[in-house]
Amino acid sequence: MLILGIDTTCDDTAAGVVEDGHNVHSNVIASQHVAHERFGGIVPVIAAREHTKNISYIVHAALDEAGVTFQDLDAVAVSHHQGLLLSLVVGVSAAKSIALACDIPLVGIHHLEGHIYSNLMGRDGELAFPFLCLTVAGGHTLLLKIEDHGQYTLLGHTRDDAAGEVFDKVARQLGLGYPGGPAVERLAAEGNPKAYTFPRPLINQPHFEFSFSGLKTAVLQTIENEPNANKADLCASFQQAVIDVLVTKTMRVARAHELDCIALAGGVALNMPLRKQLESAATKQGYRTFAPPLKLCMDNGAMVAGAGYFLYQHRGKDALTIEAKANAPLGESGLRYRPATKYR
Amino acid sequence: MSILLIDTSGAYSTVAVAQDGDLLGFGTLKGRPAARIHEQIRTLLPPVGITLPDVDTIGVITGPGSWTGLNIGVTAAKTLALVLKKPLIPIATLDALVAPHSWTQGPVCAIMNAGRGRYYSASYASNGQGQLDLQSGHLTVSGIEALMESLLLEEGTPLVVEYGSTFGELVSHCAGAICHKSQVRLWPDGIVAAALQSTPLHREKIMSLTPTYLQATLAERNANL
Repeated sequence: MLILGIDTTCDDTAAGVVEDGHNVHSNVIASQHVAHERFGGIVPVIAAREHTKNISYIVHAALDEAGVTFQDLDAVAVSHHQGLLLSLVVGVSAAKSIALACDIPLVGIHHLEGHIYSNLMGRDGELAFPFLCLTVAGGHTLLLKIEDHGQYTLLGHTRDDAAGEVFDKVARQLGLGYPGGPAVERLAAEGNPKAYTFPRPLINQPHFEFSFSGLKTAVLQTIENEPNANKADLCASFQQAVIDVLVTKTMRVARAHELDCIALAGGVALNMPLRKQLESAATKQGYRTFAPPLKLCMDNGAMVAGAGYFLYQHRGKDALTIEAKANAPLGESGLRYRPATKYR
Repeated sequence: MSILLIDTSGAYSTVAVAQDGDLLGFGTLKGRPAARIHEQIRTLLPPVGITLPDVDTIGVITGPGSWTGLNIGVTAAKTLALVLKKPLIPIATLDALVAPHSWTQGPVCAIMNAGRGRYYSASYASNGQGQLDLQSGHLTVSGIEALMESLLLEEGTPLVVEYGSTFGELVSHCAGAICHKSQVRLWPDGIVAAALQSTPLHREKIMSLTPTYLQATLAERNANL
């Protein structure tokens, strides 16, 4: 089953073609970084305009790269829940037109499901339900128990900023550009993670909630107070604080809920030190870790096509009347979680 | 020649189908229902005996108008045109407003509300047989007085005004002009007429089509870009 997946959740216009939920034939992303750079952050109306400008090119590029045409598609999947509303509606409109014109099923997915399912793609049976998923990106930081297809239980989430967003803010303050994650990671590789002692918010609390705004303030204040500080040391110390919190909380929740398979997802899953330290901590406990291929970590269309495949098998197609929602509950149980600051 | 038309530029979302310039059927939804245009198209076509692949051309209102509505409508129309391999006709909102009032020879102006005390306007010369030539288009003009000054209306110039909350206020400033209410939001004959006068786009131009936003975003205005 050949599925085209479309994602216009935030500031990337993305489309990909995936066969049977596993075999990625193409995954094309148009980044809007240049359009937003001069404003120092994402401007939702401009993101929507850029999506409208790019969407046809990206969809065609995804089909061309996969060597297929619209007529070869068996379904079209789109992220219609979670993100910037003005951006989501563009992808949803394109997906509905394809479904209508090709007379194929439309599958609307929650953007987070794309990230979660990126762990199942290409791993037939290797990662079985239930498993723990730490999904961490610019718009969310969540600990979820993935019970089954479409069935999720919230174990922990951020009370304020998402971890990825804090990477972006720190990078911006240091003049490293956007997106901040890769830039901070590059510089951190040359720095001393013990040079600065930044707070590890809530790390000793028995619950599984996160908070990153205090850490963000501490880092931003240090940057302001010490204009000549070594940027590499700052990045390394900040990155280590985030990783310590994420790894400690994830291991604690895994033990408490007896989940021995831990999956990592979202844009921050690109961070190599996070991947390595989570794996190392899990291995010590006899647990296994999973992380998607790097190309499936950032917002992308292939993960939407992948999730679309599994969810279509599970619950069938959606009507042409589905609507984009900025903060939508997740899964069949209508799981509600607090969106990170960025999406409030 | 059959044409499928989409308008999501205003307070209604409209889909219509016309054959050789005659309106065969249409549907309008009030509110912010641009999300439902695909369902509207699906239900509109069977009763008029046309299937989607039978449609010869797609037409879409490209603006000015609602930012998000236009993004949805233009994306929907260009994707349909590309998948079905049909030409796409871009239609300016003001052209559609004025089209049903073009049967008298001479000048005619169209005005629509742009929000925040601004207006979009365009002046046309009509040949009296439905042919309209754009003389000048004002992107946005602040205030009604400045708008009236910029239009340089001659006595008796027909003025086509989008019917809405500011209609009465506008008309009170239009002494000497003959004001027509444009009902194009409710009755899409103007969209059909304007489509017949517009040039269809083919593949490359369809891919790059974006709405005619006209107004810069607030972020851009603040940054003086």
